[in-house]
Parts: sequence; C-alpha cells; structure tokens
Amino acid sequence: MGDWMTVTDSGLSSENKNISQYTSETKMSPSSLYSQQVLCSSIPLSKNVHSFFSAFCTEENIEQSISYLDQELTTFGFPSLYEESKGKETKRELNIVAVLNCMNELLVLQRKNLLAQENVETQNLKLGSDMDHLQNCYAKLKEQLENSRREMIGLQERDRQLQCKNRNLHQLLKNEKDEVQKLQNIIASRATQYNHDMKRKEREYNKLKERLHQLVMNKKDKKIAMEVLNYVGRADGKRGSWRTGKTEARNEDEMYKILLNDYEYRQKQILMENAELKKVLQQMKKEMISLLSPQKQKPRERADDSTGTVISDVEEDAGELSRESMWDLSCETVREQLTNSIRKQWRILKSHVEKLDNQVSKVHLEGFSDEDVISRQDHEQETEKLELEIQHCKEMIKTQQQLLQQQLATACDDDTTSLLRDCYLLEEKERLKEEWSLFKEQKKNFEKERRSFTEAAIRLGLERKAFEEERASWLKQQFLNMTTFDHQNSENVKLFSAFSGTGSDRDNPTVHSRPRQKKPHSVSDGSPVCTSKLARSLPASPSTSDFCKTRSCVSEHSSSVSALNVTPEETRPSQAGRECADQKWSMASRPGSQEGCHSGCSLPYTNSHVEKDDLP
Amino acid sequence: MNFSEVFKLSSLLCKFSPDGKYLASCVQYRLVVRDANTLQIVQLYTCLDQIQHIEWSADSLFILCALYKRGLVQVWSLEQPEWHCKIDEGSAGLVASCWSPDGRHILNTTEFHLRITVWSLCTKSVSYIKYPKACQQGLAFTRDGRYLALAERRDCRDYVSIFVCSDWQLLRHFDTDTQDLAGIEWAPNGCVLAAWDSCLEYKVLLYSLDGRLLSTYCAYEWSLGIKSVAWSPSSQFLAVGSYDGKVRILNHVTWKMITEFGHPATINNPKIVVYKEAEKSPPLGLGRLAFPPPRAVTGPLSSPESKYEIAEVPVSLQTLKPAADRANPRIGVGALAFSPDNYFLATRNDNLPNAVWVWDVQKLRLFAVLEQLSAVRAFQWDPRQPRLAICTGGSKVYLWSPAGCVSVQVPGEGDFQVLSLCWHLSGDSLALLGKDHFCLCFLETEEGVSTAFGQRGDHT
Repeated sequence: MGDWMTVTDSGLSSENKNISQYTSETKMSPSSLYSQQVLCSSIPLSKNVHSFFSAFCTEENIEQSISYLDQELTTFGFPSLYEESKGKETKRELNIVAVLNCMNELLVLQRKNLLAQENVETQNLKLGSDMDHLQNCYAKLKEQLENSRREMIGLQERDRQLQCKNRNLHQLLKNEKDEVQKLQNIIASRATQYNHDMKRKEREYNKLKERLHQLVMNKKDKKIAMEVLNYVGRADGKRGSWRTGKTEARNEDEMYKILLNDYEYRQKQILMENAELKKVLQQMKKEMISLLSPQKQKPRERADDSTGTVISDVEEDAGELSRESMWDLSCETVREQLTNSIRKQWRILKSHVEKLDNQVSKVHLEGFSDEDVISRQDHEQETEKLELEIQHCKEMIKTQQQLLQQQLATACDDDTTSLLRDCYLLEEKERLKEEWSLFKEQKKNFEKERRSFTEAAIRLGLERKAFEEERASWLKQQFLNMTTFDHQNSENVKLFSAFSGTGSDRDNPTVHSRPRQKKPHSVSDGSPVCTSKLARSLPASPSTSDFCKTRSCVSEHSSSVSALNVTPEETRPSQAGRECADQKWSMASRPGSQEGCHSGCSLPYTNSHVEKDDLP
Repeated sequence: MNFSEVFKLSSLLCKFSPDGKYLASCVQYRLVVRDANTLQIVQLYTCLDQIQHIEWSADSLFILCALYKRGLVQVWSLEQPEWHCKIDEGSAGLVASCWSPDGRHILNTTEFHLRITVWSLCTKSVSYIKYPKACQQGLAFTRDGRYLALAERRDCRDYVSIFVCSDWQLLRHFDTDTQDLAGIEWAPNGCVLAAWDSCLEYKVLLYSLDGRLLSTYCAYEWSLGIKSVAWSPSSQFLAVGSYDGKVRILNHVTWKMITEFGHPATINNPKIVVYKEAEKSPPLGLGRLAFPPPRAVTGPLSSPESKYEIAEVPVSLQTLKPAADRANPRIGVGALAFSPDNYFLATRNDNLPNAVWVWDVQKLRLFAVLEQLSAVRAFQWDPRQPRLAICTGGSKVYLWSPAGCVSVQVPGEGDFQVLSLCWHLSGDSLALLGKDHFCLCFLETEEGVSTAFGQRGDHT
C-alpha cells in the first residue's frame, strides 16, 4: 500500500502542478519559471529542492507571492487573503485568518482529491482487468472463429472433392453402362457370326455326311448284316403288321386316346380339387354367415349403400344352401353366385374387422392421452392390491396346508375326523347362537335395570328435595319457635333457601348424585357465555329437578346453544381432555349434541342422560 | 448290412435285369449272368472282343453287348443259351446301341450319327432313321414304351420326330425353336416332351405328344444355361439345373417356375441339417458302428473310418474354383434326381463337388445337406423308399434317409474304390462298382434298416 500511495502522490502532485501550470499561464506569475522547473522535476515538495532552486517565495518577493496567491485563490473562488481595504490608498493587510482558512480548505480539497484519485485508480484497475478479460475473450473467440472458418473451408473442400468423386463415379457408371452395351452388342454380333459360321460348317459337315453315307451305305457292304440263329417271337406274341394307311390312322387314334386319357385324368383330378375347394368355400360361407348374423344389422346397413341388394341376397343364400347338389354341376351361374356371395360376405367381414381394428386403434390413441396414465395407475394399484391379496391367499393356503398336514399327521383317518369336526362345528354354532340370544336378553335386562336405576335416582333426588323442604320447614318452625319476629320470616326463609344448596353440598358429600349434578354447574360457571344464557333459565337454588329443567331447556335451545358449546369446551381442555374435545368438534354442528358439553366432564352421567332424553 | 464277396468287373459294366432276378456283369470279353440273390453264375457268354456296353431287354430275356470298337452288337438269350445274334454295322461304325422298349428291336447309331438302324429280332426287316442329332440325349422312349422321340438336325435346324415303337412309323415331326438342341426327355406319363437348348442359351420347350408347343421357359440370357433336367416321377414337376448353380422347378399346369433352389456355399438356416463326413481317427470306434462289417477286416484298412457329424450352422462348404478359360466349366447343377415317392430331390452343384443337397419337394425348401470328404461321384435313389445312396470314389458307401445318415466302409482286400452304384429293383441290395471289381451290398429289411438308422441317431 505504501508503494501505491507514493505513486499516487507523485501523480497527484504532478496533476496539481499541471493545473497550476494552466492557471499560471493565464496570469503573469513571477515564479512561472520556477514552477515550470518544479513541474519538470520529478521530486516535488522537497524542501531541499525548494531551497536549492530558490523556491516560490523568497524574502524579496513575499509581497508579490502573497498577491499572486491571492489572485490565484480568488480566481478559484476562495476569499481574498487581504483584509478588506478601507481605502484605496491604504495598503491592504494580509489576513492571517483568511490564509489559514484557505490553507485548511486547500488541505481538505487535497484530501478529497486524493480520495477521488484513489477511487479512480481502483476503478481504473478494475476496468483494466475487465479490459484484459475482454481482450482474452476476444482473442479466444477470434481463434474459434478462425478455427471454424478453417473447418468450414476443409468441409467445403471435402464436399467439393466428394462431388468431384461423385461426378467421376457417374461418369464411370456411364462408361460402364456404355461398355456393357458395347459388350452386349459384341456378344450379339459374335453370336450371330458364330451361328453363321456354325451353319456354314454344318452345311459342309452335312455334305460330308451325305457323301459318307453314300460311300458307306451304297457300297452294298456285305458286312452290314445281322446274323441270328432264329428269329424270336414278338413279346406280345402277335405277328408284325404291315405298314399301311390303316396302321397310321390307328396310331393316330391311339395317340389321341393316350392324350385324351391323360387329359381326362387331369380333369378328374382338377374336378376333385375343385370339389374340395368348393366344399371349403361353402363351409367358409356358412361359417361367415353364422358369424356375421348376430351383428348383421350394422354391417348390413352399411353394406346396403354399396351393394344395394344384400338383404335379398341373404335369402338367396339361404335358398342356395338347400340346393347344394347344384355345386356338382359347376355351371357358370352357380359359380358366380357362390363367388359373389362369398365376396360380399368377405367384404362385410372385412369391414367389420376393420371397424374393430379402428376401435382398437382409437382406444389405443385415447389411451395415450391422460386417461391412460390414470388407468395405468389404477392398474398398478389394482395389481398391487391383487398381488397382496394373492399373497394373503397364498399365506392362508400355506397355513391351511400346514394345518391340514398337521392334522393329517395326527389323525390317521381323515374322513371320519373331518366329519366329526363338521359335527363339532355345527354343535358349536348352535351353542353359540343360544349363548348369543341369552346374552342379548341379558343385555336387555341390564338396560332395563339401568333405566329403572336412573329413574330411582331421579326419584331419590325428588325425595331428597322433599326431605330438604321438610327440613327447611322444620328448621323454620324451630327458628320461629326460637324467635318472635314474624315480619322477618319471609326474608330469612329466602336466605336459607339460597344457602341450602351449598349447605347441603357441604353436609352431604356422600350423596350419590350430588357431585355429579354439581359439576355441570361448575362447568357452566366457568364459561361466562354459557352461564349468561343458562342463568336466565336457572332458578336461584340449583337443585336436581331444576337442573333437569335446565337440561330440557337446553335441549330445546340446542340448535342455538350448540355453537356456544364449542367455545367453553375449547377454553378448558384440561377438564375434558383431548379426545373429548375432538369428539365435541365433530359433534358441534349436530343438534342435540350440546349435552356433550356437559358430558365431557362425566361420561357415565351423560350416557344415562341421553337415554333419558330419548325416553319421552 | 451285408456285403458279398468281390467279383471282377471291367468298364463298370454291371446291371440288374429289369425283373430283378439276374445280375449281368462284364469281365473283358466275357458276360457273366448271376442270380441276383445267390450270386451263383447262371450263364456265361463270351463275346468277340472287349464289351463296351451292355443292356438288358425290357423283358429280361435278352442282353445286348455292344463292342463299339468292332462295330458289333452281340445279343444273348437267357432262356436259350445256345441262341445268339450278332449285328455288324460294318464300315459305318457304331457309337451307341440300345433296346427298343419291346425288347425285340435294337437301335444302333452309326458313327458320325449318319443314321440309326433299327434291327428287329423278329423279322428280317431293318429300318433306318436318318439325320439323328449328335447330342447329349437325343433319343427318348416313353415310359410305357409306345413312343420314341428323336432329336434330328436337318438344314441347320432342330427337329423332333416321334415314332410309334410298335411299327416304327413316324407319328409327328416338328421343328423346335432352339439354336442347338441338347436333349429331350419324356415326362413319366408319356404325354409331355421336354426339350432343352444347349448350354449357350437357357431355353426349355415343352411339347405335347401330338407335337403342340405347350410352353417355353427361359430363366435368363447371355450366360451359360441348362446343365441338367429331371422330371419328377409324378410328372408334376420339371427340375432344371443350370450353370448359375440353381435348380428351377416348373409346374405341369402353367409350366411356370414355382420355385428356385439356390446352392449357396454357406448355409445359415439353422433349420437345415448339415451332415458333415468326418474322419474317425481311432480305429476303436469300429465296434460302435451300427452297420458293422460282417466279415472281419483281414487286411489293413485302405482308408480311415468316417462318420457323419451334424455341423453347426453357419456351415461353409468346400468350393471349387472353376477354371474360367476352359470349356465345360465345373460349375452349375450337374446332377438331379427325384426320389421315387416324389418327396425329395437330390442335387449336386459341380462347384461344390463334395456336397449333396436334398430338397423337400412338398415344402419346396432345402431339407438336408451332406458334405463328403471327397467329390461326389454318383448318387441314386432307392427305387422303393426315400433313401439315397452316394459314392465318392472312395472305399465307402453313404446312405441318407430322412431319419439320418450313415457312412459304411466296404470291406475287402486292397483298395476297393466305389466309382458307381446301382440299386436293385426291390431296394434290398445295391451293386457297388469299382474299377476292376464289384460287390453287392445287401441291406436289411425295412424294419431292420429303420432300427439301424435309429441306432445311428447318436452318430448322425
């Protein structure tokens, strides 16, 4: 960094000097020479140098320097170094403060400039590196371009060569073709020449043969003879016959007979073959008809357009079937009919098959759209399911087999054991049925008992109420007996009755239904919204009968309360527990589910309560 | 399989009589007639010179011995040993001699094909047929023996004459549209005559008995054409083997080509069984042979034993590079034979000389290929069942049937090279002809053979 700084310093100073140079040029400067010198020197701001070169300010030209500086500074917009002159005649005084201020400002400026310089330098560096990079890129791309250009040229060259080759080959091919043609011509000409020569030679040869024949045969060659002991009889035992016109005719006849026989034989064979083929055709037709008859309607309709009288043809066909003996005649009309009907049937069949093909292809095409994916997934799922099932089944089978084997291993006679087992199973079933019915009856009984129990409990509650009233009246009487203030009686009674609930609670904690009845009230107490609503219907003294009243009241307002029920339950999850809260959530919208709000605390009670609700 | 002892033979002249009772063979100038079963000599005839050709008459009563060098034909009667007949063609010379189907006439072709002389054994009458064509197969009798078709050449044109054999009357005479007729052949039913051009031009002409042209077939132009022709026994197919190494099958209804059997040098179809003859190096394998030689091999074996192996496809067959600058190049299908039951066709492509191709005619496809160690000399179908006997000029005979393939060493002292073979009428025995000897090979009855083939299953 130190190096950098020095470098920038020098640069900066030179710049400054540059500026000063430009400015000083405009004005008359006493030290312009010096400044020039300073500019030239690479080591500025050195005091030694200053002194050495008799620097800017000397003792003689202080005034001049100051005025020059003042001038310079004012041109740069600094305040004047001199004090405000009072008069023209008075010599202006140097204002030290202004000088210091100027210096300070100059220093600040300098610092700013330095900073700016630094920034510019770094930017310059950055730009330089960017430039380098870009230049690299450029070089690379240039190289690439060059390469591709070269490649292209190579390819073009190759293409040209190939084209050249192709042209050559074409030329060669042409030449070869010409050659072939020429050779063929040569062969042909040679063949004709050869044939001609052969003919000539043959003629000569024939002449020679003729001559030889004459020479050899006509010489009455004694040697040409047959010596035979005695002539043997002909193989057929007949005598040789003279050659006459008759024999010639007979020979002809025989020849034709042979030919005729051959043709007859062949005709027979062909007839047989034809018959076979006809049979096959007939069968094919029948099968086609039977095949097409169920779906005759559709193709028929379509075929009607093209062939017109197909339906009448069907009847014809049916008629034809009956006169199958016609086939043997193989007359033209029958043949035509057969072929025509077969053709028609075939066309129908073909169109049908094509239709099916189209359908299949359509299905395929459709399948390729989104449906296929789903179906495939379904398929996969199905297959998975099925595989699982199969596995289960296999396992079952395996276990069954194992069991069977075990049983087989244990039981020697499997038939009887299986029979016996069957019997056992039946017996067991019946027994189970009996037990089931018994169990059901018991259940009914239990329910009845429970109902009676609840009723009894209610009655008990009523009785207790009566008893308490009795007690209250008894206490009243005692109190009346103790006190003589008659006018206060009514108030006191009211007071006692108000206290009676808590008092009884405290006195009889062992009473069976008490705490249960109490709890719902505490619930309602806990929930302000609920209580506000219920409190209206509640009497001052909460008792079992009152509570029952409130219950029915609540059930009446169930639809309106049901929404409210949820909130209090939510606010107190500690009481109801998570599962209960969940239950409530699910029940919230149902009418009549408001009792869940209360039952959340004591399930057995609510259960009985629900049944009670159902009873009336 | 049993083998007879070896008898002397010359010029490969050994023939079973048409009724199957006798076997005629020639040793120099002697004609020996043996009983075909016992091989006892029945008759012994002495000719004037070395016999060059023998032929049984159709009724098995006479044997014709041709002595071409002397221009002589000598006829012997089996019933009357003292009876004799000598036909001298004199200075006209003799190049071919054959029986007429009735067994009472002899057709002699003179030198230079000047004429054919028809000699009768019943009467003194002699007939001449002029201008017979000197060609590969210029003379053909119908199977029933009624008609003779003869190729003729007059004024540089080819003609076919049809004669009635009973009185040698000319029935039809027509010219054929050929450059150079090479051969004629009757269909087995005697109603269609196939005529084909020389190898320079591929052309098959089909004529009716009454001389009408039924059809013409030409597969290609310019290159060498037909090499061999064979009718199927049912007259349904005409197989034409050509120099391009293909067999073309024509049908008898439209006379068009049904199919084309190529003979490629490599077989790629895995359905085709390729039997490859392989030399068996250790002689220990002798005992495993299903057809063991009945007699102990006394002398040292002339050649090592061989067996068939099923080659794995693709198989490349040994090919022969034909000399292009020589006439009659060894290329193309040179031999064709239908099995008597019409089911198979055996062929040999001459530039794959070691291979015999067996084609399934019903399915019109290749059925099996047999590759021998040396070039196939001859093959012939058993007249009774689809069984093919092959010889390669070695000391072995090879039998093929749809069930399998077997190679049998012919026992005998010294070198017995089987150059040719011919089946007995019944298919029970097979005459194996060597250069100087012949022997008979007796095959087991049908059941025995089938079991034998079954046993060969592991070898094949």
